[in-house]
Amino acid sequence: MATKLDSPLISKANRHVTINPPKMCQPIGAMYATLGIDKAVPLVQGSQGCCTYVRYQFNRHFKEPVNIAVTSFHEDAAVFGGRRNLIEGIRNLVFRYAPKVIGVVTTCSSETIGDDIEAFIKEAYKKVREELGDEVAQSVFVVPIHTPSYAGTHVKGYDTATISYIKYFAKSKEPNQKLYIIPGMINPGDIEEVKHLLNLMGVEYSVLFDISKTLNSPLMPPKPLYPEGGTPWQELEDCANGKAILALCPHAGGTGASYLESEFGVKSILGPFPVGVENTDKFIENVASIYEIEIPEEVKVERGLLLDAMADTCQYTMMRRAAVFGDPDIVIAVTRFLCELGMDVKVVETATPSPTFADEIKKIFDEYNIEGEILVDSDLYEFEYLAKEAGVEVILGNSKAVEVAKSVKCPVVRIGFPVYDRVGYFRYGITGYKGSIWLLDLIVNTILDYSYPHDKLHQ
Amino acid sequence: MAIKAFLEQRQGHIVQSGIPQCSRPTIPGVMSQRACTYYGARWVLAPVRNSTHIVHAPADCAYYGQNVRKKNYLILSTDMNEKDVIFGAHEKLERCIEEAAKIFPEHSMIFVYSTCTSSQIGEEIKWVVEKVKEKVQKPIIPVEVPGFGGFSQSDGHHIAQKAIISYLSEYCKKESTQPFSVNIIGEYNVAGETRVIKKLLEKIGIEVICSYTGDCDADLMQKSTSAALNLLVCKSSGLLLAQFMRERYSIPFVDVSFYGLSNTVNSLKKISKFFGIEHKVEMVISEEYEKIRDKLEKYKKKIFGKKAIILLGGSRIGFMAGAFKEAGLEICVCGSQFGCNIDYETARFELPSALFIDDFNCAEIEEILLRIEPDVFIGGTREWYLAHKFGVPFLVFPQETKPYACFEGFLNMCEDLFKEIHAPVWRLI
Repeated sequence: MATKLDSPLISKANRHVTINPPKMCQPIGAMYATLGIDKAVPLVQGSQGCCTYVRYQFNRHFKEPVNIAVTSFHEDAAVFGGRRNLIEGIRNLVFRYAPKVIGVVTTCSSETIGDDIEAFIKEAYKKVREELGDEVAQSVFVVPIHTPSYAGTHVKGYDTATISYIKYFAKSKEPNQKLYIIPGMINPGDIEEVKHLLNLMGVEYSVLFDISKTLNSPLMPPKPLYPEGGTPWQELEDCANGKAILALCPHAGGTGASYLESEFGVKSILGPFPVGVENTDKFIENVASIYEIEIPEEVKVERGLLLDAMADTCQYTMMRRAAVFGDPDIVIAVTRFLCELGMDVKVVETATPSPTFADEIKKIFDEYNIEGEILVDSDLYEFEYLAKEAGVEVILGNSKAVEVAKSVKCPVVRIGFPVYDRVGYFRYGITGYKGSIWLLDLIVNTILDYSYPHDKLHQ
Repeated sequence: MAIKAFLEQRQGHIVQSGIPQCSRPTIPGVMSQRACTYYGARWVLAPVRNSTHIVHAPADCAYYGQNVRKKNYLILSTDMNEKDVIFGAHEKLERCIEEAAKIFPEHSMIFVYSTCTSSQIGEEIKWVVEKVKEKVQKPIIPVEVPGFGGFSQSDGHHIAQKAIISYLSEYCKKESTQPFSVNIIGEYNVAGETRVIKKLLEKIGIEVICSYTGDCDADLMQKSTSAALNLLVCKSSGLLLAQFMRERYSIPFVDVSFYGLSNTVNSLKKISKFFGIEHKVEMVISEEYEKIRDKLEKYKKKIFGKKAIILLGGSRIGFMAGAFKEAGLEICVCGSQFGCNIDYETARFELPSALFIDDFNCAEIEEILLRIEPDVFIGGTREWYLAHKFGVPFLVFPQETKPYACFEGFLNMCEDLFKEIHAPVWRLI
């Protein structure tokens, strides 16, 4: 696994082969969004592996069971098309689990053979009506989501799912005063933190694709068939009439928000992901200006607590060399926060192709006078090489960072999805002022654990 | 309620006596616990050391395939994009193989996998491999594992074995036979099990040359041809290889298992009989048993008679059923994602009256948990948290940290069972 510094690096741009890619498939993003809807089941139109691998990721990150069904492509389906599989799959799923929403998530194989999902779904409705009656057929919404993995990463998959759902459901009716949030691929803890801030501001809101309860559910037998707490489909219908829509992660959900603005005139705000002082300030200001309200005292106190924590620890964070990788929006936000902490960000990477990522990072680097490498659509081999060369002292990323850190010989701060080698990371958000304090503590404690002697008191 | 009607489709797969129908396609629209052929092949091939693994597919197949049995391995991908899917990516694969050989010159072989997408668009990886072989100057082994090929990961195990066989038959010649030496086939060093088995065999004077693929690289594979005997641990992922080595290198094989005391003892006896060293074995057995006896009795008392469900992969079910019975569990339900007739027959021999389920799915697990109310559930990661939501203790397999094989492993297993079953949390619900 370890890279060699003596042989020169062939950068990803000049190379065909990808070594240790840190990007997941589009379907997992689409399923992430679907699992946030009340009584919704993703139905994977593809091979069993496409479902199994994804369930593993969810199981190990959230330590929760997840309901994901698969239409089980075998050789016949892969050659002649998945028509029979999808029709029978929808019928069986409705029969067995009585879901409210089925998100049909396509895969590479289904897209390559050109399955006409929309037509199959119509046929499936007919079959359900014939076998189970009109009432059952009317009570379930089947939404097609096209996610071939060779055309993007998990971030794009989430984005595609948001626009697919909004296009399917959104209907113009009586306008309401709600603020709608598309969270992106963030943790239940992050969503809780955003809700906490909005509660403090006294704003009426609704989180679309809300996984905060569905992927963090209590142990209270008897277990319900579906976990409580997802976004009801009515909210998806009603989001066309909201006051504003806020996509926390523009790469994952921005398309859905923009569609709502262009089609229904709902004011859309894209990002930034509220981590650190400036980004959270911007989030709060955005919300305050939409509703023309004053920023409440409690919010200001939380901001002060973050600043206090930053002041207390700047001796440990100042000029410390760091490297970050992960989903574009999260990396952009975290990089800004690291700069705010005075850290020297040496390498920043996202594996997701993005037209804006490099510019955004450049802007932050210029602001804080930092010279670091910016990698887009790259792999962990290149990241590891550059991190090693720069001698970074801490790496921020998901569990895939562990092997890199071993080779670079520095500690890891786990952020993003998936984190499967530690427990509980999904519980604590890194968003908002409070979340940023948690992230700051995490970074500093990790550094202290790794590089300071244990018999000294740090004052 | 819904399950009763659904059972019609699945009637032959859930049986109280006899062998369930198996090796059939999964019904579409269920939450299946099965995985794909590619997954099965990675399971077998990933641990081969000093080898480059290139997945000819979109990047995510490599992403998911990087992590096998809770360990990360170096993995390369051709990262197919839309253009590649439309126009083909032969050239890209060719260049990738060449680049990989340059970046990792110390690796002694290259595996090239094809998955769903590359198979569907008709990428001839075998042809590409032949084409670059001369330029690269190291063994390249094509592994054609489209996820939709076959019904479960079990088919991937077979293809992976065939890949190893093709390597052996091309590059590994038999030179001599080394006395008192064995290979272990179908042993993957989960949580250090290979080490424990090796240690035990060393005690009776037998050397383990190569463990396919828990402790394996090109050199060891070459040396493995000189073993006197092959020990077949997992049939699903080892039988073909064992048969091949018997025909090609005239190395006989015996079925063994190191799970559970009686399995371990029987296996040791079988092996020692083959080598004619029975006198050594009795002593080692009693010595090893003495070491764990007191602790084991303590744990066994506490788990005796607990109702259990085991849902595991293929050939494990038979041996594991024996081991859990020995630990004192009463096994009410036994199932497998991809078991074949032989697997179920072995398990039925151990469990004459248990309910057998082939290719179980989430809804069925929920139904069983409600009806049977077991004291412990033994299965894989995907069933883990589901069982917890019902307030049922769970033992995950493959295990997290400690080996379960041989004598000390059996103690570890009983200890883990005790810990799970008697955790205070279950009383607090």
